[in-house]
Amino acid sequence: MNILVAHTADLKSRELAALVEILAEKHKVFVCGMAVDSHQRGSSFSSVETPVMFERVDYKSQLAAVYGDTKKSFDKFSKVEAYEFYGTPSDAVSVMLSEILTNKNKVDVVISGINNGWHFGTDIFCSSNIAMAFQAAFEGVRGIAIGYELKIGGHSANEMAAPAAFIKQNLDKLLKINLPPYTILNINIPASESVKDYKGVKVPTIGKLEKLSKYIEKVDCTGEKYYWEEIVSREDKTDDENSTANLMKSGFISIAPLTYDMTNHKRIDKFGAVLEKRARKEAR
Amino acid sequence: MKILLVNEAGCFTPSITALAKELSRSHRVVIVAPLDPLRGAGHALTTNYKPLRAKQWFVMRDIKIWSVSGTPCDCVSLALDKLLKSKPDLIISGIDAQNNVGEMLRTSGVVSGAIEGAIQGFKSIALSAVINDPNNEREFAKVARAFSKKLPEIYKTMTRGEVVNINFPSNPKASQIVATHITCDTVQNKYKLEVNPFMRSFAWLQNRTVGYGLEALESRGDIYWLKRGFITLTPLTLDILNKSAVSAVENANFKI
Repeated sequence: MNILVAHTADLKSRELAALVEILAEKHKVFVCGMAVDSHQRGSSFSSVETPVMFERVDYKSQLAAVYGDTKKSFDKFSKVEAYEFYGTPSDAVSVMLSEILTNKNKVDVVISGINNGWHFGTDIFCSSNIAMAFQAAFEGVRGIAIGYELKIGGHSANEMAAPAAFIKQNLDKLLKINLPPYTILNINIPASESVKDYKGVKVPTIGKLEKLSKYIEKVDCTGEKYYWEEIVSREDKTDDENSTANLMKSGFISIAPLTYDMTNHKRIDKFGAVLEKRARKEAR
Repeated sequence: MKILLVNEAGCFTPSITALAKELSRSHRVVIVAPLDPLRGAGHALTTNYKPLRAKQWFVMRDIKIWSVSGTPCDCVSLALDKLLKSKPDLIISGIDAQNNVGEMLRTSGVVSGAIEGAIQGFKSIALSAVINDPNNEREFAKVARAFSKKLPEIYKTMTRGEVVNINFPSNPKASQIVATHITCDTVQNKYKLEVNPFMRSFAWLQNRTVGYGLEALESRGDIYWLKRGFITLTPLTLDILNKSAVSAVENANFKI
């Protein structure tokens, strides 16, 4: 099977390497990563405005240079074909799927991740990782986004063993799920030492879809104001035990099927009736 | 009522000033929009990489204009937290000079701006139209006029934190408005692969072929109605969990 692993951070990330390592054992793996960490880019497309620079990268040597003394231990990565992009994550996936991975290299699934950080609640709209999975879905390929508990500075190889093992054990099952079109799987995994410690897998509720962004106002050396968005606590304060935040706390893995169809079907009739009434009034 | 206007094309473009002028006849309007024109901004946020700057411009009477060094979503949330003195009753994102239907909703900064408004808990409207010349304020003014006539009814029907996506066809005067759903269809992007003078390879988007397959058109969604000259209104929800797929995931028997 051909798999494209798409990553919002750069190609040196341990989270990416952990996923590629287990997938490359049995499958042909392609990797696209970003030259610069590109979180929170949503589904933005920079290639409308500017060309997207990219280059083929020797993934094995790059990992060896960053993490290893000898190149020997990175042999598993020698067959991995990796590309590095300057642009937005959606661009990267789209260029890979429509121009690079054609004919015999056509991929069966796009797995975006493993992201250093979860995506749930309102984050699913601005998450680059989710956007990459949706890009795959739109080009007719199954998209799976994986997020792992955030650790500032990144995880070590040992810390990534549990989520990688879960994906390895369940890849076939993830691919066999009968999904409607334009639907992706959003997987969130809590930190754990071993895959055996997980309590199970649950489909979460969508969670709290409202947040009030807060900004920190500061003044630069010339007296001009500037703003940083404050990190709002991800703690989901609802009592809903099936919200992703609470599932993470209690050691479950959450897998949510997310659809692109944002239509609020229940409200169409209501608006239809109001608009029709208005049209009749105008006609009179 | 008090209306916050945002767009993707920039705070001084005819797309937003035409709308602001029309709405300011009966409402209080504040523009908070990107200074630089953006395209395909999607739901990108900026402060992961750099701080935002905001600047107030005194160029229009009755209408306050703020420029923000970010995306439409940045504009909305910064405006609500820091720039506006009081909370708006409504957020309008637009007018986008091209329609945002089907798959385009994803990459559109205009629609994402409205979605961000809903995330913050406000009634939000994304407004797009077919505009032949984006520098011609009169074209936008025509759409703005037709829209403002329909606004009171739409506003009254909306609930807190709801988004509606409105699209105008090329001749708004003669059109009727219809409530419909998003047309989902596959996309085929075509890129030009080249090498620049520094021998670095790049890809540049040449065209986006949206499937518009028979199935999609038969489903009578926004694209179907828009092609037939109707104004479309699509109520959106933030709850994108696909309930019809939940049981399939639950029954997958994952191994721990």
